[in-house]
Amino acid sequence: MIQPVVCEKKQIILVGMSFYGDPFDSRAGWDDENEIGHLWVRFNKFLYAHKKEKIAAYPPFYEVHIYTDETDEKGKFEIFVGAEADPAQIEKLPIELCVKVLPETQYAIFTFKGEEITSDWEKLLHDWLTTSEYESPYSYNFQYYDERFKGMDRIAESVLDVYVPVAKTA
Amino acid sequence: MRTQIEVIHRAIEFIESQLQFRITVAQIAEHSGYSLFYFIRTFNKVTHQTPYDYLITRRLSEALRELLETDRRITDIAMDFCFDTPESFSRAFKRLFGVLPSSCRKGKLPESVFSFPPKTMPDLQFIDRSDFIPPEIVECEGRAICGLSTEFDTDDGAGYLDQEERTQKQVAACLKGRKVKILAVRSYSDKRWQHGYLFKGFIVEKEEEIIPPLSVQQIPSGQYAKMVCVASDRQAALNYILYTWLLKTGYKSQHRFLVEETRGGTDSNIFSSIRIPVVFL
Repeated sequence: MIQPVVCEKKQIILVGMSFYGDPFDSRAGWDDENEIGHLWVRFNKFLYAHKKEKIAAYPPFYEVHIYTDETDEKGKFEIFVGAEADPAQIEKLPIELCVKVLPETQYAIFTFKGEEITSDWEKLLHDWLTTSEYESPYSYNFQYYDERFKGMDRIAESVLDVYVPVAKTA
Repeated sequence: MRTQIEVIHRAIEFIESQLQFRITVAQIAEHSGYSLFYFIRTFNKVTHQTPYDYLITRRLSEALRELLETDRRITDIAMDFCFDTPESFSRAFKRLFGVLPSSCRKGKLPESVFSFPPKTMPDLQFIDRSDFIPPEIVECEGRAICGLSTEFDTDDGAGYLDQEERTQKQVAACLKGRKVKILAVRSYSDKRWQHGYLFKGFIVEKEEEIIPPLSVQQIPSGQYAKMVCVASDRQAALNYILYTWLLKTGYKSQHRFLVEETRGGTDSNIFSSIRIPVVFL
């Protein structure tokens, strides 16, 4: 079974955009033609149009999956894509953007390479959590896209880290 | 190892067995062996529908069947299919079928209402085809076609295909060597779009003289949902338009008939262009 690295992370303040619902409603697949792809396109366009304003520090980019009351029943998620914010700029952010504060916590970091990125790694995360000495105190995880991720058209050369907040089981 | 289509087909079978139980999408995902996130991604990819929409659509379709076939109270039927209140049931019912449950009691089924059958393996294989092209809306002029009519029943195995071929040959014989495109118009007499009357013929101008045994059928002008597929996939394409595509687009089927044009040579590459009349609501 895949073994993550567990480490402590300070609070992370992100600025970005979000979507709520079944993200694959329009079409599934690892391409732009689903709501997550649309969200990335929308966010990147916005950053490009406002590149002089230093809204966020990037790369890395973050894709946060937040589980809500409706996730289990209806398959609806909140998906947030963003980058690290400059805390001094938060009060001046344009209305199109929103802020997410990821708490200071321990994370289990899973690293996926090449085709593993498009596999069912969420199941690996779940299986690891159920057999490890950890549990997840928060209902989210996030994908961390830095310079090692080369794009969906170069997935074979790409690396992706997935962070799962964890705490030792009592 | 099972293919994604096989996994989703098994998930559909599981959903069908649980329509009257309070299952969640997470439980369906667990039954399939996928994580929730990967499951909803795969279900959408394979069916072009969200798992939750599919579950609700099937519950409402079975509730519609109960309404039509029994005298049970609407409240009891709503509860059987996991709706918390008769109001939430009526709202969902009206959103899907366009009418209230009370207008679908015995002998009172409105013409526009049809239920959504379970998705089958051929339906999923059709969506998965590499040459799958989604339907499009086209505006068509009214046309008169001249030809012959026969009954058809797609449940009748190969028998109806023989009958169709005979009709095609009879029309061709009447043409006496004239090279024209043959069209088929299928008028369905049942809510499942399975049987009815087939009219095969060719486009004629209004002033053209029609000689018996040929007769004329009018194809009305208006908006049509059009889809191109391999001819043997006609029924799967029709199912896709009716039970998946219309739900997502806000169009409704207006009349129960289909116009089909075929092109190509050998059996494996005969393509059909099918279109059904629709209206945007």
